[in-house]
Amino acid sequence: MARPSATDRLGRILAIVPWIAEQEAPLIADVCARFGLTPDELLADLEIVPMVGLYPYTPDNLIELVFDDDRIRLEYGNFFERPLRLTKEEALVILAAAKASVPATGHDPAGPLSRALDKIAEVLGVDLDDDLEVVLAEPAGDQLAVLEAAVRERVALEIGYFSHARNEHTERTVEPLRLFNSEGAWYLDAHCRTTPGDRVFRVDRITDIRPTGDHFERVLDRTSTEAFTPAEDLPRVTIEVDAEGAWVADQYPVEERTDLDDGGLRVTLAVSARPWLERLLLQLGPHGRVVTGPDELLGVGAAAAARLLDRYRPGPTAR
Amino acid sequence: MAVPKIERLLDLIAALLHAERPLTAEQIHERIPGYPPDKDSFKRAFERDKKDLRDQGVPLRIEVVPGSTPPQDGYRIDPDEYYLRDPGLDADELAAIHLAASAVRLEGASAAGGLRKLGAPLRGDTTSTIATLPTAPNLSTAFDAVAAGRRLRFRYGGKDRTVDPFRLQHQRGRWYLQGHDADAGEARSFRLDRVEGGMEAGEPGSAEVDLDPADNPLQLDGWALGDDEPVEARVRIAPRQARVAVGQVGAGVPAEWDDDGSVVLTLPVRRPEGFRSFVLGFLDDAEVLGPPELRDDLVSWLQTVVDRGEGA
Repeated sequence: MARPSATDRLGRILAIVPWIAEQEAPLIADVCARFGLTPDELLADLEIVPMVGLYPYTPDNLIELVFDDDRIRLEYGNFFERPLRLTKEEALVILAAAKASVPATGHDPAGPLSRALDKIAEVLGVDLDDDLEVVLAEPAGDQLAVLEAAVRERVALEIGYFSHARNEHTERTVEPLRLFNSEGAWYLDAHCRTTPGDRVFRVDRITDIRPTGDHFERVLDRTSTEAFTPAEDLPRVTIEVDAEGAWVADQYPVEERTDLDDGGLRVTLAVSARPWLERLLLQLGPHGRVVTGPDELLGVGAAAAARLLDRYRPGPTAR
Repeated sequence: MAVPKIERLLDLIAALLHAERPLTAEQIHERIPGYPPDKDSFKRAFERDKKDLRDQGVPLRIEVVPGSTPPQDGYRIDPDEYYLRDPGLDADELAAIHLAASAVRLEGASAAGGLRKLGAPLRGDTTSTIATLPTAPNLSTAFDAVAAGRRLRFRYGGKDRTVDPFRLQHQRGRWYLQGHDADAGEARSFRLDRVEGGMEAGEPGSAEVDLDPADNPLQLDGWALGDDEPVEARVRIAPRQARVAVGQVGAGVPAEWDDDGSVVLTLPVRRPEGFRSFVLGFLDDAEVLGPPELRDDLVSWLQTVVDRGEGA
């Protein structure tokens, strides 16, 4: 793959040369640190530069770089005075990251992140108050801060957790290992002591947190920020939906998908637990039905609907 | 000896940045070393070079060469457009930006190119990623259109749209573009992952209507989306999901807590379908208390599922 590295190199040269000029005679080590290169990589990048210049390419029209012991100097030919402006994507990546991080730094308008964001936005001509908003989901109260502290201090926690898939509330003791955000929700990677194993907990379904004061040693051994990876051995169902039920493909991890003539779909999904399927079928209502699946998952929707209907029948309520 | 392509590109940028008048393709062919002598081969090589420069973000201008008869097109780079103004970041500000960019990443994109230009130190990356924002088709085009006030044309929901965008927003794991839809005559939100095909952006400033984002909050709750007058719906949520539900609807929704730990939410419902999905998401833990029409709507919905029976 020669092409991406060639354009990458072009981008680096267009940033490094103006910086060397601006710093007057920087240490080679500083240039390397600034641009994340080894000295060899830097020299390889810059090798071409003394050949570059303006027509008619006589010596007085070429860039002259001088290596002086451990320093480097642009002696002549400052043809690239400033770095190239940011591309749309480069600007977005940085501004989105910074916008998303501002709440974590307490919205301090005088803090370094907010100041940096203001300066960059000004140079790029972006109105940051209006143009861009990045919300990573904000769980209620101080949950995130409490979990963050427990991860940092390696303190085991007792938590109440509502499992959405199983539709059950459980009490567990966990060793919190990492907080991460994926697809707009916060998750906690933790080792569960109650049903031993590593698990991912969705933070907004943690109903209460009690630090135990008990320290643990374990470290996280995964780097992925996938919240959900369907296990191979989970049962699969195939569901047919009409056009009004086609949202299912947007909102659920669909493993197979066939488009039907009427705008509907046939999709296959991994079923993590029975209540998960009940919820999906009730929300689809008349717009979706199970066409194939294991016997114990047939009739799940109708049974759940009948159970829920009981509560709306006249007579004394259950509560 | 053959001139390496990267040298040719650097010479081309230098020449166009420092040209007093736009350079014609012919002049470029004569002056920049490394192009094939044959005219057709030059044309092809020059086309590829122009594309490479544009991909790098080099603002290449095509202008008529002043005084040329007949008028001839020439190429030029305006230094004001090319050069990044120095944002003047202090060391702590650089560090903060660097930290943010390593903690929050955008799927499939790297912050390195932008950080290099801004001068953030690239070494010493010790923090790990805590959040990865999803990407979406047309994401940077949409962002640029908002920032530069460009009018957008794209296809969405089976219709061709003309939209003057005013905000790009990431919420609940998705990117939304908000803008004034010329046909609808009012603000609309568009999920970028649902845009059909590409987005065509007009010139900077071509957007005619600039709505105030403060007056047009992004509304994503299914029960609140719609044009109908809101109906106040009351739902009781059982204790074990009460906190989850309160967190989900947000602080703007009145919540009355009962001694048994359950909570009654009062939701301004504009769209019964969205409300129904919200309630059913809680399975046995939610009960619609009123008004009667929403309670009846839910009952008849459930009844159709029961009546259809097996298979559902």
